[in-house]
Amino acid sequence: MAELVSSLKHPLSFRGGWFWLSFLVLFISWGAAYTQQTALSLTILSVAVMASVARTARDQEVLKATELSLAAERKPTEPPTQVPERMQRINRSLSELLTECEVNIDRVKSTQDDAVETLSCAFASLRSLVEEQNTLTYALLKSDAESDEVYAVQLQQFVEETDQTLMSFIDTSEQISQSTQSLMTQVNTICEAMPTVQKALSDIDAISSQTNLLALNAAIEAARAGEAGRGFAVVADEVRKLSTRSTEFSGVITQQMTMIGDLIVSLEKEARFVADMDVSNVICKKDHIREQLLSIAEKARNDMSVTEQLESLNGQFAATIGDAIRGMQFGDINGQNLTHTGGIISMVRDQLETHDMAHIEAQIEDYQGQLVARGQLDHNPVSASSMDAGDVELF
Amino acid sequence: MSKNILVVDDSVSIRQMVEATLKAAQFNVTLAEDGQDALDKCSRGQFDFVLTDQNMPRMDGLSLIKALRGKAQFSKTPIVVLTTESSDDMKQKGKAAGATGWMVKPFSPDVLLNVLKRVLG
Repeated sequence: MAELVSSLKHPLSFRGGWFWLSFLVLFISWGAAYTQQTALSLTILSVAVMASVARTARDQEVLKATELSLAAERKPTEPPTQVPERMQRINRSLSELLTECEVNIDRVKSTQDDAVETLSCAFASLRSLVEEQNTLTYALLKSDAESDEVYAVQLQQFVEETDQTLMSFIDTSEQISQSTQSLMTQVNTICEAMPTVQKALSDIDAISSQTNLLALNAAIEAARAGEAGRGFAVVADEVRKLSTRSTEFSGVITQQMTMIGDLIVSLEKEARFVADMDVSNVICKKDHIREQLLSIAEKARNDMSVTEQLESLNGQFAATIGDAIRGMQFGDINGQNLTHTGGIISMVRDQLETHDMAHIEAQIEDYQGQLVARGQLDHNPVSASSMDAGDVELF
Repeated sequence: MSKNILVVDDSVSIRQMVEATLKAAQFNVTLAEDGQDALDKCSRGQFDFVLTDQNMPRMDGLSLIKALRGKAQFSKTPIVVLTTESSDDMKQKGKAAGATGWMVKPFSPDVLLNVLKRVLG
């Protein structure tokens, strides 16, 4: 049929018999013209032209009828009542798709709102934790709760003061030791000399006593000798005086020695007093040092408590940063959702630009079929509407 | 010795956050941007654990798992899917393909580390 149409479209085509008939008529008219049969040739030509025109018109009508016939074969005649039904089906499908778009966009907004809130809380918490950490760190560095002085500076001052005190203590101790040694040596020397002196005095007393006795005997013998012993009596008398004076001197010396002994005792007391005075000074310093050490121990206990609090903060830091990481994933989740929703909208827009309703319905059915084939039963790879952590399942 | 983890996801931000989480726990991390990239990296090295997304260009997660299970050196390697998909149908497909587990995004860092600890021991 198509071939017939093609040949009819070209009445002068070489395939048609009508072409050869036309050629024969022209030949005859040419022959008539050649034989100078003008009227005959003109008549034949006129008839040929009129026949050609008529035939062409008839061919055009046949061609038009054939094309209409072909069109009718391609588009089966649809009863007018089915057009609104198709429109309704298309509208329903488009409505379902747009409803899904609406739901997806709601999920995106919900997810985004939740993500922003999660991130805001996480960062606020981080800021608070950092401030608390700074406070605790400063407390570790401070010397005590009331002072702003850095503890390390106070500790350094304490160390230097302690060092100077100890050096002073050592020097003083050495001096005391040396002085005491020297003192005691001298005292011992004196004490060692005392018995010798006392013995000498004792000997002197003995000699004086004997001398006095001899002088008395001499005086007696002198008296017995009469006038001849008068000189001897004088001598004896002088000797007795010397003996008496010797005894007196011995007494004076003994008194002096006693006084010296008292002085030595006093000296010992003084030395002991000096020694006691230095020791008490050192004890005072030692007490001060002990107080400082107790303060250091107290500070160490406080530092341990602060360190425990800092360790607790580390755990809170980790949890807060975990919340921030979870919140940041909204970009990937919402991106997939928007890509999927955008695909639906693009498909709907493309169909709205097409006026062939059968084609629209077929495309929509095909699109929905593809989604089912991909396993996306709810048409969307994303189901999350918040930033709560997703489920975990180990097979 | 530190374990080697292969992380497969087409999202830059997800790769960054998973890497930060795993490196903080002393894991060695290798990144891949889709299934094909992951396969290339697996042909050049061995991994103790694979964490993969599902919806990726060139090759998706399930196709990657099937390809890895066909290789002798990866037949027993733990492979967990980290994805937005939460349907039971997809989970069953993952299990059938050879996945070890299924995690739905968003992930929590401590939960992810707990999964690694349970699977790797």
